[in-house]
Amino acid sequence: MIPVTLTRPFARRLAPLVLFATSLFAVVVPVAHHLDARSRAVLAARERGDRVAHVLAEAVRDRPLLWRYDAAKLSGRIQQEGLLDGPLVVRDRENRPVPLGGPATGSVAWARVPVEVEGVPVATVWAGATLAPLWHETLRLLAGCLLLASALGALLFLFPVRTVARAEERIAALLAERRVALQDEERRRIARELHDGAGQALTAARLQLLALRKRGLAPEDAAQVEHHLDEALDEVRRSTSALIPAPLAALGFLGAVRKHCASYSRATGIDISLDAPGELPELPPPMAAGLYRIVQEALHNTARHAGAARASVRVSHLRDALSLEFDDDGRGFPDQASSQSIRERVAGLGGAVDWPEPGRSCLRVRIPLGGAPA
Amino acid sequence: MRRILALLLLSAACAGDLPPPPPSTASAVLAPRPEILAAGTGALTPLAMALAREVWTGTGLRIRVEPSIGSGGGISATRDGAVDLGLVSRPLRPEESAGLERVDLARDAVVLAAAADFPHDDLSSAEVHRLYRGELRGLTLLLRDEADSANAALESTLPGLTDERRSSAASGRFRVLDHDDAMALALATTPRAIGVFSLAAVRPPLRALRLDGLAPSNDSLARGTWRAVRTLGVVFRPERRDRVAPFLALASSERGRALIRSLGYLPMEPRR
Repeated sequence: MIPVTLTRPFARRLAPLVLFATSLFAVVVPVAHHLDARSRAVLAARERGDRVAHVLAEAVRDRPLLWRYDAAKLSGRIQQEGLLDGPLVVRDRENRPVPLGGPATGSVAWARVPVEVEGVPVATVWAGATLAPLWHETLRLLAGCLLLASALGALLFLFPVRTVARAEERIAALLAERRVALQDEERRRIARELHDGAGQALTAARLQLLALRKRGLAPEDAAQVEHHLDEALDEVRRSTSALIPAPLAALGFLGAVRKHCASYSRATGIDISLDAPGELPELPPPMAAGLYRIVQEALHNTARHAGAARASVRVSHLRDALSLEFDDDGRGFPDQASSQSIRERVAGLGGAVDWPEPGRSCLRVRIPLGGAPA
Repeated sequence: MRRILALLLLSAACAGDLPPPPPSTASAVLAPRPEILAAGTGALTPLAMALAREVWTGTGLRIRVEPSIGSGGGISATRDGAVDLGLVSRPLRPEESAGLERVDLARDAVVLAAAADFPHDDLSSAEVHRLYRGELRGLTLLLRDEADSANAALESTLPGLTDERRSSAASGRFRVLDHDDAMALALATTPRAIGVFSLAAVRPPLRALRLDGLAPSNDSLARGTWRAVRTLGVVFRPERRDRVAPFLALASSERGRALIRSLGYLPMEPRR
């Protein structure tokens, strides 16, 4: 599989953005709520302070000299009017305390209201709003927003990252397919070049040597040259046959597989059985080449590593896929390179391979016909 | 980001005013005055004003009586030196009596008063309890504030009435008046109203109701049969005794005692 690295860089760049956005949400909502509730609490305290100031102004008009000593009755009147439901501080003109309200404890937001009689300042009222409940409410809201932001952040992060991860896998598979196709194409090109170039030239040279011998060239010399040329030709044939599955072009996929199984059985003495339909739809060249190479690789493993005496190859045409099953009575695929090669070829064709019985050379390959590379 | 944070902090800081500064510890001593200043319970105000007029007539010394600020207010103002004489209608608490002298002037009968349209002249103790519990339909009870000494005087004769009054006040069923003049005005203007009042302050159109058949009067007070009573007196700082001496001398004289009696109070027995 060709390594494609998209997910990690994407996740690294996305994570701070998601963190920033969710943190902003988790903080801004409680802060905005707190400021709004606080300003409303201060507004209510100011209204309360205004009403207390009105009561005090009346008391000052009635008792201009000693109103502050009437605090007990003033306090009762203020309480009766429901104005003592929060911190309240009253000071006379000289900033002396007038004991009307209870002491303020904890965090308090204050509203300052001056008390004036006939335009003359006589006292000052501080009406307070206790902020402890508001802080508790804000903290509860913050906790809720943090939970919500965490869930939202997880969605915002995981959903795109998973999409990119899937795209990464798809791109890697496409690249692997493309690599196999390019390799086969390159091998075919080299084979053509060898066949059409070196092969033709060597053949011509051989024919010329034959002619020279007929015209009196020493037979021993000619035979020696001819022998060298034959060796060269054999070499070229062996090379081209290794680069491109030549039987494929000549016999098609099923014919090539039949021929290979028969010749391999003769060469190795392994009893190879082939079960295949009479005909198959025309396979794309990369798929045919890939499957043929997989059969070659499996039989090579049987002969070289598995120590098997019998092998079976089964090719089936399913509705939308091609199935290739291989089995032998040997020791499986001890050579990791063989199994890895088969895996890569199957992945390159967009298929799947599994070894249902570990320790045996049994493998099943399934290649989708629709998804096969052209 | 810094600007946003700065704006948020500024908004938070602006949502309210600065807290109150530390208070001044200076006492509220008024500027020295040529006249004597008296203030305190409203129950004693009419008597104090009458005595003040007599002092001015006899000696030329002016005594100015301020509107009611309650016994507690009178005590505090006297202790602070804001007034020369504090008018009180209840015993001083231990923490109040330090540094003050007290002279009792008279006893005052506390009664249930009503206007002419009130349908009863006599109430039984049981009816008073029902009245305080709000069970007597068609009648309007006017309450005095918690600190008023008239409550304590009446409730000492009717066990359980204190809790009933507090319960009614807390329920908001009845109005609560915090000064004698406010009570007098409310009794005169509220249909079928009844409230606790000083016998000496009862003037037409108000009238004092009998309780369990007993009519409130100075005679019944002197005999001890009318038991809803409070003692009225004045407090002063010892260093101002000379300044208030003319007032005290008149109040303890035969002329003063006659004046007290004529105003509907029961003068204290002269010291022997």
